[in-house]
Amino acid sequence: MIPEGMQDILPDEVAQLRGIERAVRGRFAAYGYEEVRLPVLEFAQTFERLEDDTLEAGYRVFGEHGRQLMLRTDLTVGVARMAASRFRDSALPLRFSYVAPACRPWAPQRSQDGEFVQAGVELLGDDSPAADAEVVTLLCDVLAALGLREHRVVVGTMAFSAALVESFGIGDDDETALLDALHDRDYPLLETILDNVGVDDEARRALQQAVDVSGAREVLGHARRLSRTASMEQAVGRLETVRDLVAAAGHEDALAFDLGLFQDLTYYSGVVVEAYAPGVGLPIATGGRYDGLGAHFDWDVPGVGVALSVDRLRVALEEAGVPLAVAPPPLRFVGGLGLPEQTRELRDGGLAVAALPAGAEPGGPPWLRHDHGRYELAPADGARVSGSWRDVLQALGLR
Amino acid sequence: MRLGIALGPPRRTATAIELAVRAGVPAAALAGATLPRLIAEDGHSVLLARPGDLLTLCALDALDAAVLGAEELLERGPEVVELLELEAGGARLVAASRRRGATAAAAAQDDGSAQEGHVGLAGGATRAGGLPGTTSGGGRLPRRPRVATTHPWLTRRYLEARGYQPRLVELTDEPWPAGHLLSLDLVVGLLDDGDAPEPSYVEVAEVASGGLRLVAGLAAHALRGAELAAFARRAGEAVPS
Repeated sequence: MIPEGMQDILPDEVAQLRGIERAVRGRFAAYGYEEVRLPVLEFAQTFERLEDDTLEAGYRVFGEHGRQLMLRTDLTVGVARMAASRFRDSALPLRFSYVAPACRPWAPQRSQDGEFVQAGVELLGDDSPAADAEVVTLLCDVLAALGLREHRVVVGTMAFSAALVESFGIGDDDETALLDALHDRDYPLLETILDNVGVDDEARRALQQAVDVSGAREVLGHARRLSRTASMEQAVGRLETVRDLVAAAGHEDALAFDLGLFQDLTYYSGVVVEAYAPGVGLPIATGGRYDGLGAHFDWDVPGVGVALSVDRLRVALEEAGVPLAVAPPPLRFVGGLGLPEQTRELRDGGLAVAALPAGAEPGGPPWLRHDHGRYELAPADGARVSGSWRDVLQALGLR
Repeated sequence: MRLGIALGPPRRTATAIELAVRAGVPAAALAGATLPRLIAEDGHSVLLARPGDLLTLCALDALDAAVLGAEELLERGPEVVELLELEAGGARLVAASRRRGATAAAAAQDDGSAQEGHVGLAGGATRAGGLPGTTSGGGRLPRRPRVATTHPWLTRRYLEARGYQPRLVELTDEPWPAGHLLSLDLVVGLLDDGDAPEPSYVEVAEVASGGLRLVAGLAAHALRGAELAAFARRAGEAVPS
């Protein structure tokens, strides 16, 4: 019926997702992020220029002039492209938000649907740790506002491991291969590469210790002790600043640090963040700093952002027992299709009304039936009412 | 603790269970089990199951951690955090050909066309370069060998790196019996260190080898990292020196 990995989202689920999106949008707006809507189709080249397997592995179609188009695989790239083409002369920083679907090939082993909704923010034009902290704070704020309590927001940095591997002096190609294996968490391959390039035991230990650094705020002290170069110390110092700012904003309890945390997408360059909640194995939010991304669109501005998976958030809230929004069923008005004035009066009064032809079967309450000038109302709860139109309005609290 | 232990070659599985018990997880009742089984006791859940299932359950945060072979991490590229290399439970992923069938195939194909159509896989003058670990008289292997394997990614990568274009038959359990039923050029399966394939097979190459690893799901690592670190410490101490 539908392609593998795609889903029909039904009314009760849509109501739950809309409730989540409403809450998320509210927090995004509270931090000054303005919502944008981006095209679902981009030129394939927009993603190909990043040379990232995940971003390039999208559904492709040809435009009417033969250009290859792609259903977007990522929103951050789209925002960077949009900002570079339309906000180049604007004062910085820029703050954008979005709640929109993206598509990637279906990966059931990763619980990855072919289409998924991301709610995210992008802060462009500020390369300070304070900007990193704002995004992390906003993420903590959103999760708290949704009612999650046992979640964890994990912060790491790509810069620490990059500086550590650079200190090995093993050449660019081996450095890239080593970092790729590290980022993929492919530890057996990592060991093979370390063997092949002849890294000494001390360096090997340092790498192992670095990726093992994870836990609460005190682990950053440990990370500082592991630092072998100024670049590594700088990376830890930045994390410490982020930690202090997020803590000052009141979100320290949710915070953890992990120097073994990496992101799959290659545009991430500095601080990275993920959020986890019990019962959801994969991150409910991912993000980080991507200072080189703008340069792919000839506008070299720094950027940092985070995107929440709305679908995984719904699972997390269900697992946590947080009540999800439920849309009240519409009042089914039998005979309402032939009574536009009455139907309008109900709708103007704030009721959702599904008008049905005379004689139709209304199903379960709530319903309203018109028959020869008389009305019978079966509310969602409470006793039935029979009488005039005035009686109906009174029973519904509209008069 | 919700721990998964991988079903695999018998000594490796027994080692994994023993390590779990020494690390304080009530897994003793799993000893000798050959089918998936779940134990829930003293606040612990221990699942004995196929490695792929354990990784799926880790990814869904249904398990906190799993003990499985290093080759499974290579094969599946899972999104897990490796907590510890246990330095125990060594096993080998071995390529073998059927002794009688291989000889017959070699006889049938030994028509002087080897330089064009075939590459020798095993022994003597026909040994192919870059196939370490080949043993005796497996005959010639076609360029497009038909291979039954439990580890398709590793098998493909290994054979392609040596110039073959394998046609893979993917099996989920021990592949050795299938070799008696299917017309195959090779069977690739996992064996405990020190073991050889059953007598009707000739080992021709070692595709991969390694010991047990303790891994954690991403969410478990983020949410219950301290508990997992303590378990990893105990598991590390449980390994006989």
